[in-house]
Amino acid sequence: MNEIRNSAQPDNDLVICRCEGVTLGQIRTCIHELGARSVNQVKKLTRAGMGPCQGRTCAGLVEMILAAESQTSVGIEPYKSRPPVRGMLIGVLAASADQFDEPAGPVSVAMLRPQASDYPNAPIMSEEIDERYQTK
Amino acid sequence: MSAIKQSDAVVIGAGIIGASTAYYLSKAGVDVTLIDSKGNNASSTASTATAGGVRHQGRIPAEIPFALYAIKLWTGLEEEVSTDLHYRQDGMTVLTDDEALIPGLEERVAKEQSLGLDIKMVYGPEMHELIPGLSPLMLAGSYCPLDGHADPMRTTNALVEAAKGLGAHIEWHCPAENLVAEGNRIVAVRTSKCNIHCQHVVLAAGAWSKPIAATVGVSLPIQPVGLQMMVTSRRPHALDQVLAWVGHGISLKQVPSGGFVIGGGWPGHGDPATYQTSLNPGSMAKSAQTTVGLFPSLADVPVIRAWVGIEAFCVDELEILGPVPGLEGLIMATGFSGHGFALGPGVGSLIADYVTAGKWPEMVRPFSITRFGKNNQEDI
Repeated sequence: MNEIRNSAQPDNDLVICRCEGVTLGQIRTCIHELGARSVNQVKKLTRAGMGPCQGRTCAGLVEMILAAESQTSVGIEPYKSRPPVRGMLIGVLAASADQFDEPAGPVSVAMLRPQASDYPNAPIMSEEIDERYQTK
Repeated sequence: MSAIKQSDAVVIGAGIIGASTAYYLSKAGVDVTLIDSKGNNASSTASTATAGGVRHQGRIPAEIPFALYAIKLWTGLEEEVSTDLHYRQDGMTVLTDDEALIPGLEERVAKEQSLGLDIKMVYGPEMHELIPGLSPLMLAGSYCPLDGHADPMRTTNALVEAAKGLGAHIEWHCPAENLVAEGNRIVAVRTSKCNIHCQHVVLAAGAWSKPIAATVGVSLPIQPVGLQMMVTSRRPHALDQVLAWVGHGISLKQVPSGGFVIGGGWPGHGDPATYQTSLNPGSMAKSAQTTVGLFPSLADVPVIRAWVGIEAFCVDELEILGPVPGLEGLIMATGFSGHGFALGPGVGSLIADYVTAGKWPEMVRPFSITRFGKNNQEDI
């Protein structure tokens, strides 16, 4: 840990996340300038750990860098592991769809409706409001 | 005893809506404090699980003028905040493979054209030429060249940083506990760390807004909904547009880094009280099935990650936006129900106008809390 903290800044070019090409310098910036205090914040702000290996290579390094740069190892939570854990072909996932009863469908969102006016629960979608607001 | 601070305006919640509001308020010279219960991009909020669509079409007619206003602001945003937001305005098409649904789609397009939107129907071979790789089963679609997408995390973070650069105070890990009213005006926000005296409070805490509003007797008709997203590994560029499919849960795009981002409103689990989320495997499978149905070549591309964010759905699936009559100083910007990302800059810009000049335009009045009657306010 000390090795990283004490090393000169020229090592900023060192690639930490090989999948996403994230460097040590970017992670340091994220910690010191953007105030990241967890590996999951570093992930969302730099993309370290978001590539095909899902942090299997860099997670430990990022945890170590965070500990070194913030000079604490207390309370550093691991990367959230996201399903499907290993890459899974969309076709394979799709083929399993019939095994699931739930959910019946997506949450109701505007895009699903053929007509934009088709909002069953909308109190303001009366013709009167239409006239008042949408044309002018 | 908590510290006492002072700010003209306090914005609660640093997602796309709050970050944008803090940015435009700072730009207008307002002394603003942006507070968030977690850190920068730290929790499973709506802004971390939006598909990042920046679209006009498919909204209710009353929201189209507001979308036109907001998306005009996106055009210069990258330059303004000196950050590549991965904003692409390469169009969006909402498709159908069902002949019976084409008239409804045509009706919507005609309505949106009448509201000033550049949109048209595309059919058959012309459509397939426009969107290579589309399922041959698709018959028609509504194509809006001005729709697009951006990277939500880059955008939210860039707006926070731009606000900071203009002098906004940012308080992370600073959950709002309650609003403090004196008579009919908001005078302060009490947080776990400090009391912030202020003249304006913008409540932009998404699914976390409800208990905060309740502390001054305002009942928000919103509920938390976990929404799932998936992303694939990188592939060579194959898709310019954002695609959706009438009656099916999908919004599909290929982001600049090469991954395909798959949204569409599939439900996951999320508890705002604990910030814990978990995936629904059925949603992943059905979302994948829909993806293959729309864009068959993706069957051979691996999903590398799926995640959930908690969005605030309003009972009528429309945002609660604007001042709260009878409670001076309180401005709502919450309950965007899955279609707030594109509106973010518009919300911020309008709130800045309101705070500095008292202007609140007609086009956003349909979204006032007053639509639920008498402010939806109980006796304090």
